Amino acid sequence: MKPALYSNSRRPRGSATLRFLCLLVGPLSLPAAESASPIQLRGIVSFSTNQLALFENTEAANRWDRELLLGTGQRQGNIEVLEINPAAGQVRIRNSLEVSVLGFASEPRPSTFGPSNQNLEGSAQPGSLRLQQAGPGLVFALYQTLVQRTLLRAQNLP
Amino acid sequence: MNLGSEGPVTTGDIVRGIENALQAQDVFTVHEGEKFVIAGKEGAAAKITSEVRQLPETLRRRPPGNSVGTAAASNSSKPTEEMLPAGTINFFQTDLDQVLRIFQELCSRTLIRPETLPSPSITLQTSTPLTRAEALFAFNAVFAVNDISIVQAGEKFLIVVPTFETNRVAGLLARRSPAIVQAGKDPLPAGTLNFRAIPVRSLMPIFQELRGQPVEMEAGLPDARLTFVNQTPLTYGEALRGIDLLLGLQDLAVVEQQDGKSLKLVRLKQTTSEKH
Repeated sequence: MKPALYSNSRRPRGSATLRFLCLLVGPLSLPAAESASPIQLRGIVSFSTNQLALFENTEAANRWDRELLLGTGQRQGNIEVLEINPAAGQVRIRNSLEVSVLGFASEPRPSTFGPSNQNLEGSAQPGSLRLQQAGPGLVFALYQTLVQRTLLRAQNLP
Repeated sequence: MNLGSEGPVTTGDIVRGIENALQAQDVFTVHEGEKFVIAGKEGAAAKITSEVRQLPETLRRRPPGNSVGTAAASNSSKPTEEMLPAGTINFFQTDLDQVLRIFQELCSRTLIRPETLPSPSITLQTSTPLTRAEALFAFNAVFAVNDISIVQAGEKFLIVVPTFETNRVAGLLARRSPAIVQAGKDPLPAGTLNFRAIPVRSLMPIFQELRGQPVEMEAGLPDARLTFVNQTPLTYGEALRGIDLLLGLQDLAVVEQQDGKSLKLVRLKQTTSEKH
């Protein structure tokens, strides 16, 4: 079965007539009302042999399910990561039964950093990072994962 | 945070990219030992003082009277370290009170704490295996960077206070304990004294029972609430000492009346002025 693909910011809009007919027929034949997805892609990181996706789930019942850092095949709550595509900036997920593809919002443009000279010749696999409106909880969780140390953090951080 | 890499980068580049972006938001990261990294505003790393580093080494030795694990540790010239696997400690924005309860169990000490602690939520998720001493350090350090200090009071108690009140604790510890120990009593097993947020007036019958003397209460005392759970067996004297410290944190003290036969709970400042 072909999964229902949509980006969180680009869902196809039907014509006005079609939408009017759908309103008459009722919601059973109409896709859910257009709204921002409760699951927002906040980052993709690729390092060594790992790929991780960072999400914010604004409808999570538990606060610990609100910010997610998951690799391919990993699941937390109802959300399972099926595929991470760093080059395209997209992540395919299953949320309960619905499969969707999440992309980054186009704005704001991220500030960038490049490779340091001393590491260019490194043997490690090249990696990449993109964070888009990632909250501090996600950033710190990612940072802790990357440095492989336990983070001792003050709570009064921005 | 909005941040992206340009061109192929290494893990080290990504780490530095994030560190620089955090620094631009006045958040500094400092490596601590081999297993930790501190994140906080400028100066946060300085809160990890030598006392903060040394306390876990003391705490990893279980106090006398608490037999759990002591035999193996004392009989072996090279005791095997119990390791806590990565992720065993996993607090996500957890209320400080809950974190303190776990800390108390881990260090096998009874916490003496005021009811009014600054109550930040604590986030602490271990990402590597830790020894017990390292885990205790992680707790102590995360308290420290959140301006909460742990002060050792004898072998069985730890006093938890906002860091700015640490000097006050030194005065409390120097004060003479009023305990008169009843002879011939067996130690109180761990968990015998278990009260949470009870008013002072409800504590006085317990104090009377331990002390074997009636305690009057001065009129107009603040309606403070007190929490105390003895994590280890305590002699009556130790229990009285613990309660005395607890009352002291509320600026209260049980003092002997002039007749030498009765006791009275008074404001601590009053007892100080009486002495002078």
